Amino acid sequence: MNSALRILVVEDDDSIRGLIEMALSDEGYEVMTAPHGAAALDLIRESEPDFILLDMSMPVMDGWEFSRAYRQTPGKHAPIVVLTAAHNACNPASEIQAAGYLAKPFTLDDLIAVVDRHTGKNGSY
Amino acid sequence: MLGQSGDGAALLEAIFGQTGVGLCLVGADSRVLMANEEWLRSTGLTAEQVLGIDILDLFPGSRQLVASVYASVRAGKKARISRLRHDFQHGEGWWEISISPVPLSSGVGILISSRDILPEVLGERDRERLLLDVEGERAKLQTIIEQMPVGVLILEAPSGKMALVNKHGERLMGRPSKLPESLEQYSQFKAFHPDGRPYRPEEWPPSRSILSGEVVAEEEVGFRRKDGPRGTMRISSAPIYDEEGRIVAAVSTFYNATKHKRTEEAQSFLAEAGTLLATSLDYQTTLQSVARLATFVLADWCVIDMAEEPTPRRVAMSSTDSSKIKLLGEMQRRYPYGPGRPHPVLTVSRTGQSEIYPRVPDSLLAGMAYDAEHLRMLRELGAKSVMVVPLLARGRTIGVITFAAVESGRRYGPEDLALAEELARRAALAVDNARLYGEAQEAVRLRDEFLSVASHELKTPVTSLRGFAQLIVRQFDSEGQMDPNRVRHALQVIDQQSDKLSRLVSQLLDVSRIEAGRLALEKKVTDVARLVKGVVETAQASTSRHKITVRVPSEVLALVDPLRLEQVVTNLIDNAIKYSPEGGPIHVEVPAPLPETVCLEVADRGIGIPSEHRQGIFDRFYQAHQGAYLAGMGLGLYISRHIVDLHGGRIEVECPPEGGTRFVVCIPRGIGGDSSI
Repeated sequence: MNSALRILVVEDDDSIRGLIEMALSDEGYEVMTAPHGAAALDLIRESEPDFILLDMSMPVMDGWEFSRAYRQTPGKHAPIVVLTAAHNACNPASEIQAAGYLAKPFTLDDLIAVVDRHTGKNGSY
Repeated sequence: MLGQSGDGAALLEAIFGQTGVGLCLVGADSRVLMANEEWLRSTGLTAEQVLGIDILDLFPGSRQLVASVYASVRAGKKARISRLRHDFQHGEGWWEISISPVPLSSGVGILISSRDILPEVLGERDRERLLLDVEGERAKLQTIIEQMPVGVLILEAPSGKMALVNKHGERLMGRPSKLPESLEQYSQFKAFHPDGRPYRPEEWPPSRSILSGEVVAEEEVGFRRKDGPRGTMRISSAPIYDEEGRIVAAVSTFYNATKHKRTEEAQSFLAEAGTLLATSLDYQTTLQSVARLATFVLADWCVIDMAEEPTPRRVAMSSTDSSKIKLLGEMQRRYPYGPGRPHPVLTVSRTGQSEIYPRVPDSLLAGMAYDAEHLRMLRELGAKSVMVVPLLARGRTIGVITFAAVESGRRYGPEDLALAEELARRAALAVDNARLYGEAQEAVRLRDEFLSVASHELKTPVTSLRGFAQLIVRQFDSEGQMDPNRVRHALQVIDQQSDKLSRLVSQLLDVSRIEAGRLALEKKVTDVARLVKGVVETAQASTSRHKITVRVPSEVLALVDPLRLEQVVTNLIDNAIKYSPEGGPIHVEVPAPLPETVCLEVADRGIGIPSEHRQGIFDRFYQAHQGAYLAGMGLGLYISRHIVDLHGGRIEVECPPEGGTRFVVCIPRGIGGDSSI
């Protein structure tokens, strides 16, 4: 199991944020969480994530604004996968040119598969 | 002189025989000596009946006359009967008779000559009859021309002298003091081409008929008379030729087509308006086009206001003079319609009845003006005649159109008002349709949005529910056992999220009930103060970032549905929490109740409600902060309003200047006032 792959979860719903944190920690990822985009940018300034799970509809700074601000930061950018309950889940993902999307409600198997694939964990990608 | 010689007798015989004139020679003894055939024909007698007979015996009917004539002739005078009628069996005969003395050897004889003048008499008679006929026809024609409902005039060619004009024509021409003697003198009549250019004398239709033989049919000529308003004349004209093909005159007919023209213009105006009104469902654009069209046909300036609370809203302005538009706009900004001053637009939007001011007295403007500057602007607008007409749709006044005549000098009358009202009727219908369409579209849009928000909202708790269940299963699968703390946490989350889900579903069911009119209350006497305190306690337990203060009397009894009222209070406090994302104080108060009414206030210091959204927040699916993270389903206030409505109460929102939002609910207590302690 690789260590130190760092996942950033940006999600305003407390229980979903907690759920993802637990599930990915169980898989051996280091998980950082933020309830909105502004808090996420603060975290990124301290330690760069390898992968970002991003909710779109959030207070203070939403997913669209966050992705714009994030892309303007210097250095390399981690792939973003959008978490969305929107009717057309692929729309917000393509709007911010995300690497993929995960439609709510998702299964933990799907969540873990997406994260593994995008982080190249287990060499399966 | 004729003698008795054989030569003389032969000559006499020859003359008597050859001449075309009737001849009869009477001897001195009055007996007929000779008579030729022609003379016999004029008397209808034969030679045997006359020869040797006393001339006096030949015409017994006129013996005396004949005797006196012969006596005077024998005395040496000539006699002449210019017309002598003789009726025969086959018809009448007319003769000219000359009687002369003739010296004969036996004394003075008489020579009678008769000339047949029947053809002349008949010719004369024909001519007289013809003259009478012509006179009759002329009189008939004169009568027809005079009676014609159009102006008729005849011009002589090439002078252009007005030879004849009927009474109607004189009236149409404004009773000119002197009829034109030449083409140049037609400049006394003021007439205009459609582009406003005046007619030159040689351009008049009859002038053209005289000058070039042109036939003109129904040419429309604008006119202005010194004694009357402007209008439209239709003039026709044609040349009259003689046998050689020369133009000798022109005849022209003309009539006042102002009314026809108006009607035609009105019809085409309404048709054009109809097209405009049908082209767009954006009624504001449409009304602007209508105002512009009205400006050409019916007014010098035109404004349209929509009836809105508290004051009508200007949606369209048009003027033939662009400076007036600027002025109208400035007046609207500086002196909006207000209850302080009477204004026809306010009157009409209240009564739904048209108002017409054929002449606008200065006193009317003075009454409308707020101050001297306003009065100056009103005067500068220069409305000389005004119509103010309501836009009526389904019995409601939805707007007001104002038409004003300025420099055109037109005075509005009943026909103009009828046209204006017809235009307003059509415009109102179009606006109403556009509005209904807009509302229907908005309803569809809101429902789509609601479905999308509802599915979004429902998916969030479902994600947690499934996720935590799967989390436990995964751990069990991989480790063969479960961490009791984690299980406890997972079950707590599942419980909370199930509750959230069930509340969302209840809200949806409530909306369905409201829509179907099946939301019923189960009223019982309830202590509202205790109910409110209970809700506050529960709410405070769910948040640590908000400090909820509550002030209620010890007991306020009211006949209400406690579960539904609790739902309202919960919703208002939930909103206060939700819309104070940075935390902060929330104050809930039940003021000392009135005998009949109990009120409840929930005030927060949160983000408030933008003023443009305050009207809509109690509508279904309405969210003042659309697109933002706070987007719930937007059903809470809609349901709350209905619950309050069902209690016969009201719910209002205020945004105090110090910030935040304050909701006030007041409902009738439904029991005697003395129940309050």
